[in-house]
Amino acid sequence: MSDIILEACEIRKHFPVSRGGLVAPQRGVLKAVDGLSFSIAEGETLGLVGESGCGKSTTSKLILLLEALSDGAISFRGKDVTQFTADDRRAYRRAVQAVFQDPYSSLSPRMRIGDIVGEPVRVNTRVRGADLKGRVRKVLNDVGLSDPSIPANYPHEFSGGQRQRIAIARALALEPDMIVLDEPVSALDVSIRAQIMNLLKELQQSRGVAYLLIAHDLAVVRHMSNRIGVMYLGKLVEIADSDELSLHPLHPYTQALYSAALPSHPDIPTSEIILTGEVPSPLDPPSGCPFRTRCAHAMPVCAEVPPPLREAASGHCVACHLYASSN
Amino acid sequence: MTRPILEVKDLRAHLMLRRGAVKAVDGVSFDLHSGETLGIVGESGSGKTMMGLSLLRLLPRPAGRIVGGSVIFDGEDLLAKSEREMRAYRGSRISMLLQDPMTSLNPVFRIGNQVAEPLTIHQKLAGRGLRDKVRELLRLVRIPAPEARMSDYPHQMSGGMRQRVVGAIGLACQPQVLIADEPTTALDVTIQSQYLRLLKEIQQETGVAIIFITHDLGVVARMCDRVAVMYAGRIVEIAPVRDLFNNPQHPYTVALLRSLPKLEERAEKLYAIGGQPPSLMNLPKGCAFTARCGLANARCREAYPPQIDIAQGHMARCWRTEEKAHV
Repeated sequence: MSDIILEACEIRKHFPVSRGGLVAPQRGVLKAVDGLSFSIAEGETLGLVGESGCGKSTTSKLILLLEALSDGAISFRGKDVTQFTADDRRAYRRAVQAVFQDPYSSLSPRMRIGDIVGEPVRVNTRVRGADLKGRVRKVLNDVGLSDPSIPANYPHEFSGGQRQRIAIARALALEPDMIVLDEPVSALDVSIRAQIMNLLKELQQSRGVAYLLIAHDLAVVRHMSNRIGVMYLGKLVEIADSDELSLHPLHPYTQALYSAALPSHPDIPTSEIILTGEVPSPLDPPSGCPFRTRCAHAMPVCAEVPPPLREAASGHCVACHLYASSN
Repeated sequence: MTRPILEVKDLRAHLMLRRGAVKAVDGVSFDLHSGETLGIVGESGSGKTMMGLSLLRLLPRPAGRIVGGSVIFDGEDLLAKSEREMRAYRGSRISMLLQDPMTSLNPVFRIGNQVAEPLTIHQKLAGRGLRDKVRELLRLVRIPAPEARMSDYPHQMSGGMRQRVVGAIGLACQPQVLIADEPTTALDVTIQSQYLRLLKEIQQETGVAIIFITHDLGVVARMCDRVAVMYAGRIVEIAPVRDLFNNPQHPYTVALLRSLPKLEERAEKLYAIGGQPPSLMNLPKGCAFTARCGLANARCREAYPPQIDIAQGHMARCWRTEEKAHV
């Protein structure tokens, strides 16, 4: 196992919210991320899956330091981010980059491609002039945009897939150690998705960059990730090696999620586990296990004690009382 | 074989822009039988949504215009109807479900009133009869506590629930044809699965024929009896769903199927279709896929391929397929 570059330990993000009237609002707390722990090794891809509202995007914002932690700790190469000096913080922002879902809103329409890709370099280093231009051209080349006219063009002149390539080039320009990919292909067309997924994998192989991949498409996550974590209502319910998780999901939610995924061929039999109801509101999560209200195996203990994340098999952790005895 | 409920012949719909005509639908033919589900797959810009809209003559005005072909519904040509006659069909005998339940419901009217609208207009229901029918419809789409939910506003419901309300509106007058344009794209995996199952059940109860427009081949594999693949405004292949997945003929279909990441097994690298779909304003003379096709030759660039029958109900438009068929 190679070195851990980023570790999140029991991270929490709680948003205060007020419900009800102007006069006597009820104060509440939305626990978007509630005690999440994971680590990412050098050159590895960790996928986080879950349905909307499970806290995946908040997690990515916490990692990118775009939101302050309510509790818990994130350490980067052994250093706690809350103890960062201004210099550490700058170094972190160089080392951890992001690619977002929608390449139509993540690129400024008023900047030329050369400026968009060069901006992080200009802000963070002393590289200027011809060196900067050369660096921009090289990184654009790496993402498959080799036409020499590209740096002078504006985003509207490019298709969705090309824009996502530009966003990837921008993230790569500083040669980061890790890139947070927040739904990087879900806004793209099917035929373009494969191009971008292949590109991301190639770049990872050639540069050894680690990815934190946030996505809701299970097949995409399976294809891209070494390990996969499944989130439900702000908590990690299961985390394991990608193949292990896809073939032997243990948590009832993971099982239901995988069984609800659409088949890639009409002959694949569907043995769907039917989940009743919808995800409970994170403002008022169930006591104990967050999934117990929709779980077919719920037991009295599930309402009382939140199940801790335990190792059920080698490298396969699950937070469920069903597997308590096996330990 | 009984007569199809809907026969579309050589339908052409163009968008007249200042810069020229966009050939969004360029000679589409298919038929649809009662109780069956026809999938229309294609990437964005392939004309699938415009095709759906033109069946109901709801193209965006003033740019959108149907320039040729016929749409025979239950023996009558819809394109020959007056606007007033057309209104008696829409939402009554043919209805449409749109992608985004946020925008297809009116935020300032109660759910009950919105479900009631087609019933008051087309079936002249009122009073208690209307209320009973609305309740029955909400029950049909599995809204819990329909009586109480009738007085809710759309914002009080979750996405999955809203999409079911849209379904109730579409099904209110027991249409013979339901055009579903990406109705599950905005939904989460488990909610999408619930919704697809619901549509299937309703279809079995009512015998409605469904045209399912989607970009997701997984939805097709789960839902459809037959599939039409659209590329650049034309149907390039149409086949029963198993034939299409087992024996795809058009190079575009082959590429599309190969580019999908699979949940069942993991490939190192996905097959990616190079390039971009062509601009619909400036289509090449021959086959529109030539620029991205590995098999293209001079004839492909010269003339658009005719319909080539592969098997019963399986048609592809590709010169190379024809050559193979002759060998």
